[in-house]
Amino acid sequence: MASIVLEHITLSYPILGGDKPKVVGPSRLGGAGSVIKDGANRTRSVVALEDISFELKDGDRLGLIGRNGSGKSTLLRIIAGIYEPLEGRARIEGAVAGLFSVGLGVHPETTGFRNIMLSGLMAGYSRAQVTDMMPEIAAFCDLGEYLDMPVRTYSNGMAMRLKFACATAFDADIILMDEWLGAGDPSFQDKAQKRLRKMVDEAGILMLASHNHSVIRKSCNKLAWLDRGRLRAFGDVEEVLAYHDEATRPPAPPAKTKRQIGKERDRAARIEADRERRRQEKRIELKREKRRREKRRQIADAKKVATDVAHDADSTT
Amino acid sequence: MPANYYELGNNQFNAAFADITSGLFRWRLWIALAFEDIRLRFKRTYIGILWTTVSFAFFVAVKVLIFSPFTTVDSAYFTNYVAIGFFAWMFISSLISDGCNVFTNSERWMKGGRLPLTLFVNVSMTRSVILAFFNFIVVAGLMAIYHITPTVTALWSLVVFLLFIVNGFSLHFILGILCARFRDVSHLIQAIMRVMLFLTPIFWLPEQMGDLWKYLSFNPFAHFLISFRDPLLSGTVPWNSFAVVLSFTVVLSLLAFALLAFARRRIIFWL
Repeated sequence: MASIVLEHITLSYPILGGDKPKVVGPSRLGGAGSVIKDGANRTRSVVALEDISFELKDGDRLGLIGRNGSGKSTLLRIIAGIYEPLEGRARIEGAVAGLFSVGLGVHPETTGFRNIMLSGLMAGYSRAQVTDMMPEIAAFCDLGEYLDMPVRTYSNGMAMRLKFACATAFDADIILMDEWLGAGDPSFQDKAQKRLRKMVDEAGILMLASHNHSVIRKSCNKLAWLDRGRLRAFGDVEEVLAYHDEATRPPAPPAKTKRQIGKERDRAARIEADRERRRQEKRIELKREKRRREKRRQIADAKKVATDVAHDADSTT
Repeated sequence: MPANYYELGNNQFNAAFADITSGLFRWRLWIALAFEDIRLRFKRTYIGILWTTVSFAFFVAVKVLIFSPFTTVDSAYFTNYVAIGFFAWMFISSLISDGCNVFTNSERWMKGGRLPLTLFVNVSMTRSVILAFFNFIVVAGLMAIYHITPTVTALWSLVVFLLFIVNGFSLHFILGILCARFRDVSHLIQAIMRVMLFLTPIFWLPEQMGDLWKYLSFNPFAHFLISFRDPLLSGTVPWNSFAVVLSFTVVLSLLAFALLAFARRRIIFWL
């Protein structure tokens, strides 16, 4: 039994120390990226999410789309309980497994096996329970003897496999993924897809942030479009995608005026004239070069005749 | 499975209380993480964690050698005086320096999933207690060598040690939160602790100091140290110092709880 209820979630990141963004001129429209200032007109925080409300139930597979910085990751982290909103309420029921960056929640100096154990303990299992599950998890991530080596020595793809296996091995009701489905080699992707499908089918919720619309179409049955920290659309995948594509299509170039057409024609003519002039110059230059070469040859021939005559004179004496 | 229902954005005092209880409840995890830390710290060494014992013994030996000419008491007493005092000091200073880093060093875990802050405090505390245990080997060894038999009153030292743990727990929250928000604090604390080593009666006796002790006794560390050392070494309970320790325990606990309630959900943005 899993459920997610968000009510008017607003979250802003405080800016501490260092360079604070200065807003030159009028601020943008609000939403993500707009800055909050204190009484002394100093920038204090940046809004990441504004007034987000929705509900998800068992079996919901929600895709999240939106440009970089639109608040997708922040929203996932709120549902994971990592960030708590200072305004609004969130009620999350069910064990959450979050797949964010590979490095988070992993001890790089420790072996793969021990990391699996720690993940299990974090998910609330006992040592004995994790030990029982170990062979299956090891088989799933298929890292062989590497599991005895520190995770620091793994390649990025290997670390991802370990992370994925850990996050999904321990029964989770809610799975959160941040740009993850494209990870790993094709055979692992296949396995990962199957496992995810199984977990979601066993009554759970999947939330997936991705820029890849075909992945979203394949894995999700609902879609949310975040635009600068606001929920721009929420609902059926195809409908939201259609709306998104319509709204974000680059505007067609405006029709040309007569004057513009005239200008362009003049410019083309100028370029053509320029080219013709250069061709003419080249032809003249070639002609000159040919004449010069002719002259040099005549001189050389004359010299040769002269020396031959001299040579003949020597040999006769 | 732990309770996996939570509500974000409710009463902060309740949430702070829930953080502490759920953190304590997950003892399997913090013990595993503490042992993992220790394992990594002594990775690929031959004598492993015994290095703490060795370095502690070495330090005590050198200090006794250097400072005993300046003291009036007999050398057996002074050796144990230094060993017990320095043991307590090492424990206190490790609680303070680890407390400063407890949250900044746990960023990787805190950003990976929802875990109570108390859990990280417990990891750090457990680590310090384990290391203290290995330092205590030296203290126990010296007391055996010099035939200093602890009396029943020595159990007070155990009580005071537990108070160290309670205060260390509070200090972890206070310092961990302050150091995460204001990065200068950890440097400041480092500078202070380096000086405090000499202002605390570890290598000298309060009686030696005459009038100066009046001022030196404002140092709270001195009272923590005295109330741990005296019952173990001379079988007396220094009630004045003990009262100081108790009042610190109350004040720090309340402060820690208030600070936790305020900063619990903010700290993730400060890392």
